Amino acid sequence: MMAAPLIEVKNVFYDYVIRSGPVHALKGVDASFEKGKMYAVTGRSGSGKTTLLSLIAAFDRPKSGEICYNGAALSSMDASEYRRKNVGIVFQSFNLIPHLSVLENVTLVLEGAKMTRDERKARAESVLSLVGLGKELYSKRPSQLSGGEQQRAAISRAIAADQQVLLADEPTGNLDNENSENVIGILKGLAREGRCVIVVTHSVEVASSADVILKMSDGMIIS
Amino acid sequence: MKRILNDIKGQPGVFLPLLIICALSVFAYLSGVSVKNSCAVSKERIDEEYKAFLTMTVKEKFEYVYDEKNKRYTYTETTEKKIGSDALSAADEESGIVSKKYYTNLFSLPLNIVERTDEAEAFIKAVESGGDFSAKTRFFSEDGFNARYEADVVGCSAEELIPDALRVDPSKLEITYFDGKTFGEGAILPKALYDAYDAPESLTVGWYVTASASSTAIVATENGYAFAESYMEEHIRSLQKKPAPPMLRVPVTGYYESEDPHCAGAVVCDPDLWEKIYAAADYYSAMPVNGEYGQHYYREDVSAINEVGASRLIMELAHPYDAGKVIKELIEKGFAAEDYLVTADDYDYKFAAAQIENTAGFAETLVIASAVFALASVILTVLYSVRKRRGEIYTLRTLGKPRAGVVSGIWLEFLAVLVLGVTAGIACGAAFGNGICAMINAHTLSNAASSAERLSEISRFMTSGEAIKRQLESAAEAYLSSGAVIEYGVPPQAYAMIYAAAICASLAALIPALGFSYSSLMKRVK
Repeated sequence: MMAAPLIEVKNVFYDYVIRSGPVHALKGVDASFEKGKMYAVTGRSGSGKTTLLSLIAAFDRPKSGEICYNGAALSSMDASEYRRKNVGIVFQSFNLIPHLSVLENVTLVLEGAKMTRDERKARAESVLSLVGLGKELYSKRPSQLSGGEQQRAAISRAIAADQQVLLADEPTGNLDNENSENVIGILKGLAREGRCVIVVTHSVEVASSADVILKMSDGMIIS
Repeated sequence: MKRILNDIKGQPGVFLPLLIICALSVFAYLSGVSVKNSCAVSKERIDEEYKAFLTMTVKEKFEYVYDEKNKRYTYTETTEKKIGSDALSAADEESGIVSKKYYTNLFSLPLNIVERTDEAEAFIKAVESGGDFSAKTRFFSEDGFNARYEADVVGCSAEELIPDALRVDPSKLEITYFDGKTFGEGAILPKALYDAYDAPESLTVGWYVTASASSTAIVATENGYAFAESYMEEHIRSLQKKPAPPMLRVPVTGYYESEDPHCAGAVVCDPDLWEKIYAAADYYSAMPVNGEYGQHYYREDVSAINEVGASRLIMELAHPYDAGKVIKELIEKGFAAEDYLVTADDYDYKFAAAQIENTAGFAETLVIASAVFALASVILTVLYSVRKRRGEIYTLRTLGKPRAGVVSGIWLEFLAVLVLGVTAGIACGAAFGNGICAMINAHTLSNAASSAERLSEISRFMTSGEAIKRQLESAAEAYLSSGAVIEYGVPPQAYAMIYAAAICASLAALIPALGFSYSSLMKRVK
């Protein structure tokens, strides 16, 4: 028996206008994403990968079609709350807040949660240790960390609130091989723990590590 | 709150410039406001303390008049116009004029309307109450030459009051009457005066002038010039082109001696004679000097003004700064056109006001410049800083922070920094404001003195330079002693306004903080 998809993308169309004219970024995309799996979305630049990720993250709404989370349409949810509770995002350039320490960057997403300060701190420390960042790094600023360490901190932040969906946009794009493998390993591990990990990537290595590869071209999933 | 403080502390590059700009601008603004307010207070004080007068004079007219007798034209003064009731009415209507004084040339007044002075009034009252009185007047010997003496005149309504009038012990007073003369028939002189005049039978109440004269008929003395009586009469007739009024000849009835050191040493006469002497003295004091009306008789009550007209009308202004306005209005009413000249004696006021206005102008500029600079630079810095933090804002949004939460957080951070900056600026003002004001005071005072000095130097090359120099120096001295000082003091509403401005400026942060679209969020974060 197949598991119910955590995220369903149903015949989603999306376009936007640039100077040279309208861009049809997504043209009837259908996809399902389950818990416990790591998905790799590949394709050339401009194929619609990042747009698909943006719509799953509820940064915008599809022009037509629907995206559902746990069976409920995103359009009926509060986007910020949906992201805060369910979606973690990892970026190519890490996007850690530069003036906050590693620990503060992680606890940032826990602000507003019904937790004491100590609980927040404990939670942040546990996710940081989960990605292999030692305590000596907690008080460091992002600029004092290596690229791999920063990305691991970013992953910690993305899962700190126990989000079930992890969206990663070229997470290894700025990393060397060793760090890339490390990050891929972490992402796979998170998928094994039961999260739904969706990675947009150009990297063959990343794609080959995924359980499912979705290849996009010209706004459509072609395989 | 802790997050906000952490954010501020963690981004000195974003917030420190803002803090410094804000504090300096507030300091400059408050200094400007203080100086401006102080200037306003000083200006009010100057407006109250300084007086200014308008002087309306009749323009003298000269023309060639044919002299039938000598068969030739002579250049003659033909001024007919006098300042009369029309000017009085016009001045009465001017709200800017608080009091008026009229000066007239007593040549044009018959002796019997010469007004008595306060001293004369006091004399009359003293006589009525049986007391004594005195006033200074001047006497000449009959020939009028080389023998001018000045003495007090003491009036006594009864002979037995003479010791009291002279403040002398009756037992130490010895009065000698001439043969057949008694008290009340003339003046009794102190022995010294009697001797000095070589035992005169009578004296003339005379005149003297202190201005220069060149006539050979005038003899210089230590205190001025004395005229022969005959010359005096002739001179009057020539100036007035009419017979001179009778001179007052005072018969001398005797003299007195006293060893009492407290003796007043005055000329003693009865009240009727005293009044005549006094009226004559008034009359002579208004005699023309060297062909010009150098001495004028001053009157507050001008009941006779319409009879003879005034040669000069002095108007005291309620506010010295009204001078220009009142002159304009008088001109519009027909004065100062062809026959009148209206001038303002407001130089001291103008000088003082100019010093204050210069400083106030500087303060005004400082206030406006600092306000504009502060608002512009704070808003630009806020906008720039938020723009610089866009990545952070987008990241927070992707992490699920609600837009309102992100925006309000950003706003609160800037608000906190601006409030801190304002408070720092206020503290700087409290610490250094008085020093700044002291510097401005010193500068203004030295500027007042040096500008007067500089202008005085220039006045050396001008006609009437000496008079101009004196005027400038007097104006500078008046300003220096006017107590016009700049003090540091900020009205509470200025504080409220600055804090309000800080709140408004911090709202600028909302513009870029709100100005992003969802659709581009992912791409921007990338």
